[in-house]
Amino acid sequence: MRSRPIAHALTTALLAGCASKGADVSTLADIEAAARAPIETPAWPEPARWVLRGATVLTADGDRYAPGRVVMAGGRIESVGPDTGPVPDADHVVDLGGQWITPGIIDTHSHLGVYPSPPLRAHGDGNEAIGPTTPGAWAESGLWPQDPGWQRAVAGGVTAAQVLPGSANLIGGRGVTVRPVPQRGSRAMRFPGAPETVKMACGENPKRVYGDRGGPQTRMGNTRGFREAFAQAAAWRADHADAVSPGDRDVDMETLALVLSGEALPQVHCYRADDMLGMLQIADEFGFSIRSFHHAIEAYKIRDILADREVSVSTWSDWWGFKAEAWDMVLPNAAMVHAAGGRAVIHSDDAIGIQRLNQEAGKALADGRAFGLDITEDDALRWITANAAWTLGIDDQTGRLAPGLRGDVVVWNAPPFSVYARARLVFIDGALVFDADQPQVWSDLVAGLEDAP
Amino acid sequence: MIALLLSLAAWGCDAVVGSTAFIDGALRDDTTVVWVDGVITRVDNAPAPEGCTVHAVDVITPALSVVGTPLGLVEIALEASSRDDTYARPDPVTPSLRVSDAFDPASQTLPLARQGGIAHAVIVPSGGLVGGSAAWVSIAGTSQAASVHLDEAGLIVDLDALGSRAAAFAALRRLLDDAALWAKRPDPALRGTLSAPPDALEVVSRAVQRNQPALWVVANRAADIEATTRFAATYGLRVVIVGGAEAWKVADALAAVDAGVLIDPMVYGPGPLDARHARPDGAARLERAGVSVSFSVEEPHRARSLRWIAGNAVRAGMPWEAALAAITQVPSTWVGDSDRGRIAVGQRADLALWSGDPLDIPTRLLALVVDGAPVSLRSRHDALAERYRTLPVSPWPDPPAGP
Repeated sequence: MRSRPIAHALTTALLAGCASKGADVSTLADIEAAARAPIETPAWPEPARWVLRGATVLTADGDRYAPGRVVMAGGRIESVGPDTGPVPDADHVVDLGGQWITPGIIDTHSHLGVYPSPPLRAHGDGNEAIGPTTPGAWAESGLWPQDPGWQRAVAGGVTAAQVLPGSANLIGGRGVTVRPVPQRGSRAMRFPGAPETVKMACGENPKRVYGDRGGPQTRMGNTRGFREAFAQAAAWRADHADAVSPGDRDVDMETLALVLSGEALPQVHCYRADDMLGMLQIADEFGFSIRSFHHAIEAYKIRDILADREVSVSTWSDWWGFKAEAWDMVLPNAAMVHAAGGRAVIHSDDAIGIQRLNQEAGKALADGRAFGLDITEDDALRWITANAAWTLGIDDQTGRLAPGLRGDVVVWNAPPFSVYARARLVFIDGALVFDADQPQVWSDLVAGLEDAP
Repeated sequence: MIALLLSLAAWGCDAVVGSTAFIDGALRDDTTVVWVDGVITRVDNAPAPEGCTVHAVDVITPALSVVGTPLGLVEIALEASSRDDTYARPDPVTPSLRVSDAFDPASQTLPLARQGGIAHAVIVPSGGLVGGSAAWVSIAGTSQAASVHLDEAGLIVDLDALGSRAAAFAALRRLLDDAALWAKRPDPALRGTLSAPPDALEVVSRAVQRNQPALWVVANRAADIEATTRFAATYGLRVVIVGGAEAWKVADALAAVDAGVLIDPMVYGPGPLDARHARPDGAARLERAGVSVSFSVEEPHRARSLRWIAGNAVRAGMPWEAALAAITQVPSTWVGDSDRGRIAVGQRADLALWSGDPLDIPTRLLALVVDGAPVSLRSRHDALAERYRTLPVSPWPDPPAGP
């Protein structure tokens, strides 16, 4: 590996890793470790011991306690249950009668930071539209940590989000799962231990963007482009599975190799049922699994297949009609996927929507019930918590209120699916990061712009 | 409740009894509302008249109105062939354009909007300094003739269109001055010196004359809104600010010229640079300052969200009654339609019947009544969901039997 500035600890690890293969040869794992090495230590509040009691607790794990109690310590959830028995000693005991507690909300599809607000041309870093296949582009590299949208997302109860490249490209590059908290660089925002993700897009967008720029021009061209990329990646991976010499490095192939090995979770923007079936064929042909179809307006048409293959469906409550492939929306889409045994997720793909995912899930819940489907509040809560966590490969760490999971918790002042509900307290890793009664300024962009009350 | 919907008669006497009704800007329990042949004839708490069909519903409000939308003008947003809200304009000043000419009462966006309790809309063109005339329409009509209440419901002005806000005001002053000149002295000799053709100037004069409102001005920055109020004061114009992200900062100036603000309470700063000082309670602050407020929905396809957008304004501190008024009586007031927007004797019977609080998410619309009769709420989306209720769906659910 060529020399470049990397963290000291990692240098040591790398040298150790290289020793057995000669000085200039790395494994893919070495390359990944170097590329993901932190520069700065994330700034983080000290997690205290919290007892939240008296609220209605929805766990996204099938349980509801009213009144319930959630105890957090050392950054983790220590216990969840009814609010009975002696109250344990804690740094903070908060009585939350009449309020509601849920797991933190997780958005599987955001462009905060890569398409930040204000939407300045200079800050539009979400689509590397130089060509339809750019797996080596990482959302992390374009993510502006000062996007004031992060704070507004947290004010809406969001505790984790996947930031994705846009959908101009067939393979747009890597997404990144982040903690939406202020840091000086995007790497410090990475959700600890979250797997890599890769954004792909089928359908209208790539052919619209490249139709007069060398293609793809058609859905035929889209499929050809995917086959080309993965055939090349399969060949490259066969040659470099064990060792990559410096001259053989290929940042695009390195990312696709992670897809083929199953380490990176494919997140595929796809609207139409037939397009999704086509992508499943590509995945089968090259031996990888699609983790989630995003937008998936027509998921309801193939919900049996998606449930069977364990592909989650990240969709909206009611966005449609902005293009032809978004024409066949049905209001109970998420609910129908859920009822068929699939994993439904309500995502935002929007700087405003991410602040109101509880409302969007509430709309999808109401529409599912109006269609006659039997859906509990806990089910609908999973659409923005547990199922989203699974989609990002962090379901063993967050997404439910269960002992041992990270302390990602939201306290709401009203039933969380009501339009009137506001996040009052938001905890991430057991630390209070947002208190509606104590407004703070996170983004440098906002500093000095505060209005007099 | 299904039986109720089916039993609503197209004509004759209908009534709700014992409902919570939104009347004169407040919720009143135990109310009887009677309508006969499409017009509200009684609002009180007495029993329904003999022979009148009585319906039991929890909540009854005026049918909702959505303002500043291309409903019926845009079908598939990215397909230019299905858009009539904007066009490749050679000229930034086209007052003669009437969107009512392009309004499609069969648009598939309309049934979904009706499912949100919406019966009327102020539809608008986009683009250009003066993009054309807004129209006040029903979204429950079966023809253009049955839909369009008003072809010329004020001119749409976009201060961004010329690349300089100062240039926009300069061009507007000239346009208004020329319209006044032409109205006073329609001398063909003037034609070469005017900033717009006579037909365009005549539309401008009619808008100024009618003044309900004269202009809908797209602006978000406080400075632009303030400049608009000065402009309105100079020319004696009633204006509605469309966007209004920072309007709360100049609420007093807006109130002084009786300007309205069409605002999206979901958008708050710093979104666009022009909206750095947008805040969630912007609508609430405007309302407190005495400025009339209504709420916009970003996309026509999501118009059904109007009531929840109003709910979000309540979430941010606006009184519930003001938020509901904003999507019922305020739009009618803005366009000067005194027959719609309220539950009162003599008003058109345009009513929304709800299972509960119309601004909250779990509440369902039970019926939408327009001119006294229930209108269809069935959408293509409903048909699709039904078609796929059980899988697999055969392309031929009932294969043809053959000759």
